[in-house]
Amino acid sequence: MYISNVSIVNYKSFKNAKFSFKEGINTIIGENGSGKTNLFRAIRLLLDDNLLRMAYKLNKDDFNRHLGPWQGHWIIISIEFSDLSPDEEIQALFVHGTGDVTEEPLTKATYTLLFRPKPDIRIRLSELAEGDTAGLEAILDELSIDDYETKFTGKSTVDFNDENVYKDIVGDFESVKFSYLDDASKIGILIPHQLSISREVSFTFIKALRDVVSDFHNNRTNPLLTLLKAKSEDIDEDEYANISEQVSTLNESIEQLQDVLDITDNISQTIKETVGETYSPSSLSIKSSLSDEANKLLQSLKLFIGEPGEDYEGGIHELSLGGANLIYLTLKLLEFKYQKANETFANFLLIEEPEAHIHTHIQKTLFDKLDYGDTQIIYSTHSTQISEVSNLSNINVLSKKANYAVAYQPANGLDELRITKLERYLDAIRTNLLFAKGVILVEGDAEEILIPTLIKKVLGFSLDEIGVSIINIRSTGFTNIADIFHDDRIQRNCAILTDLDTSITEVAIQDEDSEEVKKYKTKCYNSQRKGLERQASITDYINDNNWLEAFYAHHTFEVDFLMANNAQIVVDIVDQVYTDPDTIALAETELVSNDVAIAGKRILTMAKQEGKGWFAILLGSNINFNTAIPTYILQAVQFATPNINREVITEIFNHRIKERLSNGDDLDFNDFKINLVRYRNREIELREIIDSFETLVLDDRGLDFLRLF
Amino acid sequence: MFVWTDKELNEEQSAVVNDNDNILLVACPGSGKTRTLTYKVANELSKLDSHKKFVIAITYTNRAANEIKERIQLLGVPTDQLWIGTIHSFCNEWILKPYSSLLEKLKFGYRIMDSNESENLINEICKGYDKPKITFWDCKHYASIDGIVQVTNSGYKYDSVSAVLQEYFAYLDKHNFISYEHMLLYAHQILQDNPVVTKTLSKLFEIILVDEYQDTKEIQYHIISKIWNSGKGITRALIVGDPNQTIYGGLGGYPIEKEELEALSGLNFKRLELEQNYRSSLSIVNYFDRYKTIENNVVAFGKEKDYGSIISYNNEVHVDNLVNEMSRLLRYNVEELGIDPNEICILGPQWVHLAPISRSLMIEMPEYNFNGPGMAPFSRDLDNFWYKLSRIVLTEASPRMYLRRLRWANEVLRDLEDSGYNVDGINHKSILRVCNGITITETHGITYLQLFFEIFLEELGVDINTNISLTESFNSFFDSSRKRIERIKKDGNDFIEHIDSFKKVFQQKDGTTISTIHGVKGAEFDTVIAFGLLEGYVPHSNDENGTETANRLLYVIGSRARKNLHLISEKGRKNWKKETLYPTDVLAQISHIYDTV
Repeated sequence: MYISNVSIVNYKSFKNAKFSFKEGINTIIGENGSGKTNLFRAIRLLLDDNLLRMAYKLNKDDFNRHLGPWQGHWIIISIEFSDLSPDEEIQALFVHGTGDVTEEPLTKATYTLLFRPKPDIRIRLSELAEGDTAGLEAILDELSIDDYETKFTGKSTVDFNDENVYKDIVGDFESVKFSYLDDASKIGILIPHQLSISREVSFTFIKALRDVVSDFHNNRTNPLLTLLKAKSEDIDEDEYANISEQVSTLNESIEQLQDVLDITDNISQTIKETVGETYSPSSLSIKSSLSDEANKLLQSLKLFIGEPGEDYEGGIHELSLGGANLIYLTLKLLEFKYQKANETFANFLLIEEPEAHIHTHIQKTLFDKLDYGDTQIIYSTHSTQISEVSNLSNINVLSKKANYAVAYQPANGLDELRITKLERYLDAIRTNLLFAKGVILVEGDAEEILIPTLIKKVLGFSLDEIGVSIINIRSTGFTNIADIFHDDRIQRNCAILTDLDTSITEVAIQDEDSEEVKKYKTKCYNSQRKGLERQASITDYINDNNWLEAFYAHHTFEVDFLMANNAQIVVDIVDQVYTDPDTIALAETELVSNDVAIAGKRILTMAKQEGKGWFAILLGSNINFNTAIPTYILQAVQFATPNINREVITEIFNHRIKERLSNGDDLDFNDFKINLVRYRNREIELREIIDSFETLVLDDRGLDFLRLF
Repeated sequence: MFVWTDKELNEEQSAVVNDNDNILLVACPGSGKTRTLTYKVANELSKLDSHKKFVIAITYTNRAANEIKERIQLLGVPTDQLWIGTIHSFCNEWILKPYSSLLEKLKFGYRIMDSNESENLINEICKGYDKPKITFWDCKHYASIDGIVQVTNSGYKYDSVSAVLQEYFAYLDKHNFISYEHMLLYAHQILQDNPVVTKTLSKLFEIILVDEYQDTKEIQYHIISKIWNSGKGITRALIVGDPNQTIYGGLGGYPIEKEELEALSGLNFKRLELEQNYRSSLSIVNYFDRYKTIENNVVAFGKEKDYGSIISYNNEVHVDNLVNEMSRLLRYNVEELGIDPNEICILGPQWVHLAPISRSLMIEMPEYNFNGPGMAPFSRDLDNFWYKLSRIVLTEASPRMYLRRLRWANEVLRDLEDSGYNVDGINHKSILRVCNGITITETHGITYLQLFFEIFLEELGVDINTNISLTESFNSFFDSSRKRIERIKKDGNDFIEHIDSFKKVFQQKDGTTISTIHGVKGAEFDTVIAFGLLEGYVPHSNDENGTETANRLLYVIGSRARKNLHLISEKGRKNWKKETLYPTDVLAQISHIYDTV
């Protein structure tokens, strides 16, 4: 049995999130603050026996902030288990409490926590007339968290993530429609008191490894003590009798040490001398109190460890942080193994950010070798070095929104073949694709190198800053990676940047054309034809997927760059490409030509000679704030970051002003700056601030981008 | 490991406890059936090797369940994994509640209409039918695998009875109630339609033991057998009873034959017998043995085996002198034969006959104590929340009562939770503490209880106004109590309203028992005095198998007695048609030389 789904509604950072898990090892990827810990907390509320009972009483801070006023709403945390079998006796009690008996054969079970208004409140809500908003508010206004109850149910059948289901069971706040009766066939059946679901499974939670040394020193959290305690209960009494005897003898020997006896005598003597015989204690002795009880003695044991490659064995506090964490994790795993022997049939291990102190390489080995049979591991990470990235189906991506987080499953709904392809590329690029807020897919080194520089120089921010990743897919075809962006998977914008390869020259072959020209024209024509075919196939692929859009260079990246009025930049590097003065002169003349057939052909020749990557690097060093970025690139950046905020836009203006002033502009920006503050404070809109800038500068490369919004 | 000595169990009893096969056990009267069952359950519990397994014991009454549970606890065996109770509780706890989502009728929750409410409701509906006049008794019905069976299934009352029942069922449906009979019906339906449920249950149950199988109905056999059948031997079986004591045949109960049971359950059963009677003298055994309807062996084995029993029969006394005759017999037993009055029992055919006898005897013999029906100011309704709470309210806190009151408090707590209250902040001990802390000086019983309940709810912060089921059971509890008090006052007992009469209900019973024949199931006394042994009462006039029923009732009456047995067929009783009633045929036809007293 394993956890197949976790649905969370209105709990902490989750307004409505669904996580999917597979058998074996699962990864939760998410930036800091995206709710990884909250997800674990939610699962622990249902399955962790070690969580104090108090924890089930949630409070108002547990409601998702996006909800606004929480009064009247429910928190729902529901876990779905798969791969059960009614034939296995050991699962029968679990099935009795949670099994979905409506399905034949039974393989699924659900276990749900409901935090909701108490019955009297729900009755009052149900008695409201439809549309009685005032009545509803009167009730909700006076609700406090004491009017809430926590209930656990099994056998629920509905999808709590479905907003219509929420309306159905909780109520419709807009039209004021609430029902009081619980429909057991939907929300499930209250789990009776006698049945503790968490007792049926074994569950271990390992929190983010932060201060492991102090954990070892604290009796309650020391994993070694837990193991020793467990073992001390089944210690062989006969075997122990011998030790116990030795301890007594040892205690006696210590007490009989001449020095100890001397101290005893001296204490007695001193007392007698100072307070006199009458007030002195009648007897006095020093005793050694080494315990001979098995559990106490065992618990006095300490772990001594030598670092790899060293001879010295030291205590935990002497170990490197990484080493201590490794030991901690190992002991926890062992504890888990002990627990497994305890008549439970499924084992869940939740590990929070194991990379905190353990090298990803060790992690991978650790998890790879971990094989406790029916064991499911879920661990969270914010590392881009995802050790299990090659297993895309077992990944949930957490993404932070304004007041809530959403969960994406990157491989949801893809067939095996496509998943395998995706995994291969992801593994190769090892990029933060899964974290990015937006993605631009390019197919050449030139774009990968130049686009970030162009944006930085012209607009003043880096793509990293706004969370946009440029992924160079080289020659592997866009679709293999673009698959991941979809309503069912990762819901983020992905711009596809490619060349339409429209020929720079007339392609119709004339009788007078030389063989060489004919060959050149045929080549151009073929590229153009292929470009159109590619465009058709990309258009077809994107179809109605709103997360994808394609942007085309009319010719190719280099040609479009050049023709965007950037001839001077290219001219400036001619002498780094050619050495022959005649060639340099010819190239310079051709590059400034308005005829794309001439200028375009030259830049392509230069790029080919230098290699596109190196050529891009040469160009990059010459790019300045006045370089024109081809429109299709600006459009792609804009698509990848549809919600660019006012701070970033303000920064773009500031960058433009700063660059202009430092390049000898003598315009007075003071009035504009006042307007800029007003824009930033949401007093005026983007359109107005652009107009205000335009009247001042007439034309500006920054506006090329801003006018797109 | 659970062990016992041969002083605790005899050879045939030990054999049952040790046997791991499926057993159909026929136990003659006084053969230590309950003791055997207790040890069997204790032994099964001690053998469990998983905390996920349960031993299920199904008893005929809640009282029997509590008694067996207490006895097992006294044997020092933990009862965490024992579930014991009536078939109705079994259906509710293990089938209806956990699988209510499977039935359209149950999925929004349901309330159980207790027997008292059912009776009141049917009586109320009956008032609307005049020609012919019908009563609750005419409307008896029970669940079968094909639906509800109406006991009055022909004759001139048939149409009206059908109409009353239709109205009754419609009321239940409309108000989301289910009756005891519906509990069986729905449980059967869930098991029938969902093999996965029976499969799951069979994996949870190590063994299901059924007590008093002779009064078990077909649908009950079917419900349990479905679980046995699904387990194919995983869940073992033991059913025990005495076919000769089948007295609920009128409601569908019958002692199943081994072959039928095996066919239903898919298990092989071993038939064992307990034939050593430890209870009665040889003369008593020989006497009641004559009424047996099914062949078996009963051997007198107890220490009273050779007691010089007196077995008398009086068919001369007139009903007007019945009380005199009974007091004469009582005095004779107590004063001449030295019998403890607590060990004497007076049996009558129906509750209606007992109330006037009780009252008259109390007046005739003020120096004697009597425990009879209709003497409690409220009904013993074990499923009613307020009855459960009353048990705590009306008993004193004492070390002897502590564990029992704690258990009651626990039941109260569970009920509160089941009704949807948040009980996070309270436990069973705090419920006891709250109860013990309430002092009320009121002496009027009903007012006393109402005041108490009010304070109790306030202390716990529970508002019952928002809870339909608690409000209804509250009204039901007090309505039925008021009616009872009215009736008892009419019979001349004015003290009944006093709080002391209320408290007496739960005090240790003291005095001579007065009961119906059905009500003494499983009990035993030194002396049994039975009256009303008239054709029309024993058996009832509309009993189709009159002769058989009469034999079985007489078998039960006779086998209750250890030492002496006094039978009375009084003269002068008439039925509603004013026809004179004559002594029970079966009794009259037996030739026996009775003793004279």
